Amino acid sequence: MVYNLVLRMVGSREDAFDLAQETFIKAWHAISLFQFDSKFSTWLCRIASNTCIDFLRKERKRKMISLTVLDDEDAQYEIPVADSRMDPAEITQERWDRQVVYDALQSLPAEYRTVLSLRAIEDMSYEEIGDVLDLKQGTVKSRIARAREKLRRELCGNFSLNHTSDKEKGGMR
Amino acid sequence: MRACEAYIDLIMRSIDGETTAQEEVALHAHLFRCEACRTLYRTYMEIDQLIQNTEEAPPAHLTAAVMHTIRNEKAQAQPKHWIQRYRFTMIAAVAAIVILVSATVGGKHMKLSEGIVADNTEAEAAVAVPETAAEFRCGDVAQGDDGVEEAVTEGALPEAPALAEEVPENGTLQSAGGTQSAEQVDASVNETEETGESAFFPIEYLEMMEQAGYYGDALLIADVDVSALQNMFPEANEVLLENGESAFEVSKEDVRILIEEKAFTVVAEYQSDTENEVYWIILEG
Repeated sequence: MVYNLVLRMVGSREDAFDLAQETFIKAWHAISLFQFDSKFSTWLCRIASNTCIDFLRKERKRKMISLTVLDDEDAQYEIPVADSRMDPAEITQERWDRQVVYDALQSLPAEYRTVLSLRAIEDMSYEEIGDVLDLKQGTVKSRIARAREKLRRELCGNFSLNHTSDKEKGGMR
Repeated sequence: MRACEAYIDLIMRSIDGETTAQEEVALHAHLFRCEACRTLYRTYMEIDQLIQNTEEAPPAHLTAAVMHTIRNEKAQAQPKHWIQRYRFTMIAAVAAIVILVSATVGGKHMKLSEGIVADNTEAEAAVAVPETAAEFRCGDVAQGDDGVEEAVTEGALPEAPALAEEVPENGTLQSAGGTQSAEQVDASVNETEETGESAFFPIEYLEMMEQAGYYGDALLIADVDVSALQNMFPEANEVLLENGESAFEVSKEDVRILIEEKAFTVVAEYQSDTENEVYWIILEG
């Protein structure tokens, strides 16, 4: 859970490893502060999220060339450059599809891919996502909706997402 | 064909499981009639499925890395607590035992006839009081006086970490657990005196290790020089200690092999209560 959330937020597996580790260490230090007023997983994800936000802020300052995307009302993080290219010799269709989706996700602003990952991968409710990211439920809902729509547009060139109809096969391809 | 604006919000919430039963009925009634909305609904469902498919297993060594860091932090915290908080208590306790035991043995000596001097010598050997706090920490001190031992080991001092188990190949290390009988202590002390080797890890090295920020296990070895050690462990990290000597961080597995091969003599071992897979090796002298 933590690793995937962190990976979605920062985009780099190397950074995700370090930040997931940092998250667990922070949680270990702060375990006595856990109040049982939320799920432990929510609490852990909140630590992971804050750790990543700090990291992204520092990275933004560090980098000479900002890749910040400000195309939405409260976009505030930069898009990290994905470093996850696969070895072409090992690519299968399935892996290729995964990589395309992964890259499309990484092209979204960090706050969009974060909410979408918490929703789609971690199966969190709007309320839980709001707790993790300290957002109102309305903001969570609108971000998820925008993120899905952006992703749909990103992927429509690779997957016939918006051409699927009842009369066609149930799958996407 | 465009989806109906009025239903997009409902489609999203339905996929996210945030709709009421009534809303679900209304939505599916609409989806039955509207192909565009039905297509959009399926598309978003498929997008979520695609996202789920990108989930990755965390790297296999993530757990080990986290546990390693936590153990190191615990190790750093505990010896610090030990050495800094109880150093003077331990020295004072050892001094008190020396005085107590000297008085007891001295008194006996005066009262007993010369025929019992052998017992007295044995008693002196049994309470051959270690000179340093590190020796005391190894749990070998107070065997000469059970009352003092209890007061020191159970009351004034935290539980002492066990010294390393014996290394049968060269017999240079002795187990110094607190459960040893006085006879066993006598034997170990005598054996140490005979071989000229010490089972106790010198406190000055512990202090230098602490200053260098290391709180794990350590070996004091002899019969090799720096260059020989570097040849044995070409990838060892070298750390300069305060007294100008070097410590070498090496894997325990490598060390075990070389101990079996008798590549060097283990003079003393310090075993912390961590589960480090590395040793600090310090060359004696």
